[in-house]
Amino acid sequence: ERADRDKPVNIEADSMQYDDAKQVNVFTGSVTLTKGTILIRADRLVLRQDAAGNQYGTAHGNPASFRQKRDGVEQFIVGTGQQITYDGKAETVRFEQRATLKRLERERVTDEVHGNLIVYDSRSEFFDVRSGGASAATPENPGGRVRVVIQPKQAAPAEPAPTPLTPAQGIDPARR
Amino acid sequence: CGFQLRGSAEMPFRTLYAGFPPGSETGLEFARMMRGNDTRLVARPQDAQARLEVLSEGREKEIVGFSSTGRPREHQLRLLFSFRLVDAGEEELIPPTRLVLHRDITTTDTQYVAKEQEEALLYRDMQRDLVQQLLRRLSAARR
Amino acid sequence: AGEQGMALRLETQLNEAGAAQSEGRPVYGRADSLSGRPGRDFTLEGDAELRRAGTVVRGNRITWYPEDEEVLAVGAVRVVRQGSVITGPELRLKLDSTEGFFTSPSYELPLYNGRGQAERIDFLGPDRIGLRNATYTTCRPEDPDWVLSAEEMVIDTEEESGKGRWAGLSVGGRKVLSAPWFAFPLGDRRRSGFLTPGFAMTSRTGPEFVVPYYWNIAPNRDLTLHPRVMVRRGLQLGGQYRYLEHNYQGDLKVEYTPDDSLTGNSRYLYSYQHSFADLAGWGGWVDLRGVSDDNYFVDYSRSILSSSERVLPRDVVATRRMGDWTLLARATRYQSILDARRAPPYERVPQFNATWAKRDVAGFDVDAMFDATWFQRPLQGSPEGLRMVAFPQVSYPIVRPGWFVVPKLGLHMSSYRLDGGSPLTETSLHRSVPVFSLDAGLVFERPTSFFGRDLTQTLEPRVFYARAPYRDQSAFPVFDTGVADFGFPQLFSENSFVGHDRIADANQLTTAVVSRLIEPATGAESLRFAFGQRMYFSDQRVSIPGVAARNDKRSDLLFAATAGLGRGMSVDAGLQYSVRDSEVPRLNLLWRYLPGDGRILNAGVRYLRDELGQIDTSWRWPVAPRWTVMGRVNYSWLKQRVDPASGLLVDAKPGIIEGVLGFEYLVDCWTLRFVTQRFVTAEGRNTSAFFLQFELAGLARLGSDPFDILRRNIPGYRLPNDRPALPSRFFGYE
Repeated sequence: ERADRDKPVNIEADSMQYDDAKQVNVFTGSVTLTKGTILIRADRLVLRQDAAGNQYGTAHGNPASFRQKRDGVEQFIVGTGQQITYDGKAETVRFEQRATLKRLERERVTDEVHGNLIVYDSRSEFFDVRSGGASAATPENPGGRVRVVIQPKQAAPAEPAPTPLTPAQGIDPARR
Repeated sequence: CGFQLRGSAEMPFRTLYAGFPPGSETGLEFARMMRGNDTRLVARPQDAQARLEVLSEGREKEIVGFSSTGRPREHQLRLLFSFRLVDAGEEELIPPTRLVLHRDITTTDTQYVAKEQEEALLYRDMQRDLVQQLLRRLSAARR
Repeated sequence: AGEQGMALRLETQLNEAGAAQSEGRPVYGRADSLSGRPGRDFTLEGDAELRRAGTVVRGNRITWYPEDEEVLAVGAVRVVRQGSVITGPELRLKLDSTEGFFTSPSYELPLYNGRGQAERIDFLGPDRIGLRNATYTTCRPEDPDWVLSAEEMVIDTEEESGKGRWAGLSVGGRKVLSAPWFAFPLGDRRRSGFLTPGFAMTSRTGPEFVVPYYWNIAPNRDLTLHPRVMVRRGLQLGGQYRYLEHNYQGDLKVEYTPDDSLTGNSRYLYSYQHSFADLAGWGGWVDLRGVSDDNYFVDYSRSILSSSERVLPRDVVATRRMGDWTLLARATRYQSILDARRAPPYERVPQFNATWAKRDVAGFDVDAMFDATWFQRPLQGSPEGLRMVAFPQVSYPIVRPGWFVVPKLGLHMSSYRLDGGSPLTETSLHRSVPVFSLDAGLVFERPTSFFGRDLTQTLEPRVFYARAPYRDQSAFPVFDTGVADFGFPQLFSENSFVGHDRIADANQLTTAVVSRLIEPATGAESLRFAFGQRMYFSDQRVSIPGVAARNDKRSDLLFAATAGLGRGMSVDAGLQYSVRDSEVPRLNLLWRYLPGDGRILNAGVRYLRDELGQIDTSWRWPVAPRWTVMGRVNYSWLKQRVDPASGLLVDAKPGIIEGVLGFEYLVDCWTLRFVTQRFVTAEGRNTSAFFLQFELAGLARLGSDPFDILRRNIPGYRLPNDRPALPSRFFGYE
């Protein structure tokens, strides 16, 4: 949301060091950053602040994830990638290596994009996806090309009846 | 010289539903010959481990021999039968197969009615031959 | 508790159902790069591909507007949709309502091998495209030999047809035909319209011209009218009406010549076949045929089949199954023409027949047949009357995989109420003949191998003993009885006669052996040999007029073989060898080569002492890159034959009974077919005909259609460019 700009940032992590030379904070171990509706989870996060108070963060994870609510709509943007770079000033987020970007509407994925590099401008809600060519090949996407899945626009078709859950007859020790 | 009496002609299923159209003579002959082995014919497809689907059964008669004056002297009677065998789970045990049998019958202009009866005799003979070949194919079907 | 989850099952075939409806289906995209605003627009660039249930769009750049489900593609655009492929520089298409346009596209219909270009294509719904200044052809795109062009054209893949306005047909670059309006078929689905007109020249009718019109009344009903203009005989109106319902179907053919200028009277033919099932519990059929005069077939027929009919049935039959009973009621009359008038068949007016069959009654099979038939004499002076027959039989079949023994005992009882033509014939006759038979056989097997294929070889000796006492039947009339052909089926039947007027006395033993080669994997028979002979322990004294009683001790030797030799080659042989006069009274030999790529080679000999001696070869063989020669020669070598009516030996003239010679020049999208045919209709008289046909593949066939003649004369003949029977939904899938 636009309002996230001036929301405070708080971060939880297992450990935090302050690197005086580069003036950056480095958080490691199940790092979670929240800023308004923005939520970043990663294994390692490097946070920098410039003189004007804009924050820049680079998160690494396997994968690291980013989540933000869209402005004025009950929808969320969720992105993942090996490396996520957040630029507070330009309000852009870069997802790199096996990057995915999904738009969710009340927990239902409406669009989904896969690529090697995704740049998402949360102010104009514009995203740009680059393919990594052969270097980013994965088993289900040998060409390493960009892939997108767009669900139809109208209300979600009636959910197929969920498979009936049969009550477990008892605690099955073998199943532990 | 290596010949022994044919042992069991077991079919790889205990119960079979034969989908012959009602009143089909080949169907009657098939039921009669099935008494020679242990597989049982059942009346309803649901109860059968395997289902014999009769895709088509037809007869043809064609002039094949002419006298020097162009009069037909020999006809060929053909029995065409195509079938397939599926198991209870709709898996195909025998793909659609077409069997064609034929018998020759001489023709004269005079004994028209007698030749009609002889044709019926030849068709019954072809049906017996067809059923024998069918039984061999069914017992060769492998899961 | 066992595994509860859903078990995954490997799907063995592509699922034909499924993508029927395309609304509510996700869109998948792939490209080198992608940009856009979620929910508003997506632009794929670099070898982009967009795919949704049944439609695939490819291009350099594709933009997708999810809001109104529209796609805009630019640069080497290629759309694949339900069997049509369209390529061009630019496309705009609404996927759900499938409206939109394509600029200067070229299109392809792989299912019908049709293609062309257009100035613009408009999508008009899921199965229709509208083209402006378009062309259509089924030739190769490089230098098409014929092109159909039209200012406006609509192609409907659902109706499988195309319509063009201001259309023009150019062949070999020259405009041949232009018309304000033009419709053409894509597939070969039945639809109303003029069939290809036929031109033929026969020696009986002179030049003749047929313009058939086909009316597709309903999916299960159609009418074909074929008015035929014959220079030497005048106009003939012909029609065929066919109908197919759930439990009955029928076919009515009528030909009517109001004024045959050669004979000066009106002549007609009718042929009506109708069969029905469970009509108030009864099934049955009707077969009524008739012609106005004896020479109708000889004068009007265009094939040796119809010119050889001599006995036309008028037959009505009804049958019903009730439990173990099968009832039959029948009435049969005949129209005999030409030389069949000398000995026309008896007519059954009416016949009632009932058969009762009980299986496995404490191991016994019981069959009984009861028949009552009123025979009407066709010729003055021959006896007629009622014949009643009762023929109960009981057998005790012991059937095991390795052997079988089937003893059978029957009692054939019959009585006749005659009012004889001549005063000598008694008015009532009775007869009952017990008949005993014993059928026994063994089945031996052993594994063997033939040309490197391992097979199972069987050896099946079989004996059949038949015993029936002599009853003097010389006074009995002959209504429906004749001598059956001497062959394997007859070797294993008790009565050497067919029909119920003669029960031959018998004391004979048939010995036969069959050996088969069987493929173990499928149980299919690839080779079969059979020998058979019958030993007579007494002379046969029962006979019918015109057939000498038999008195030799051993019958002729019978030999039969059928073999599939692989690569489409097969042999079928049947031989009857007379031990007494050491000669061959009957021989059938057929060698066939059908490799499956359209080439056909058949060669056969049929010989029946003093009746039939023909060498019959037929072929279809490519002789040059585009030329195929096909034909048939059926040559009779007999120098003398038995005149069937008089039974005397008369001279016969060796010569070709039926000859067909045809040429086919086949280019990828058009065919020129020329066929000439000659067949004998009577001693020294024959009919010749020739056909010329020009076919634009998938578009139209002009000229007379020799297809039926080729199919009958060359067993295995098919039209060269037959489409696959039922194209699957995944035909031409990308």
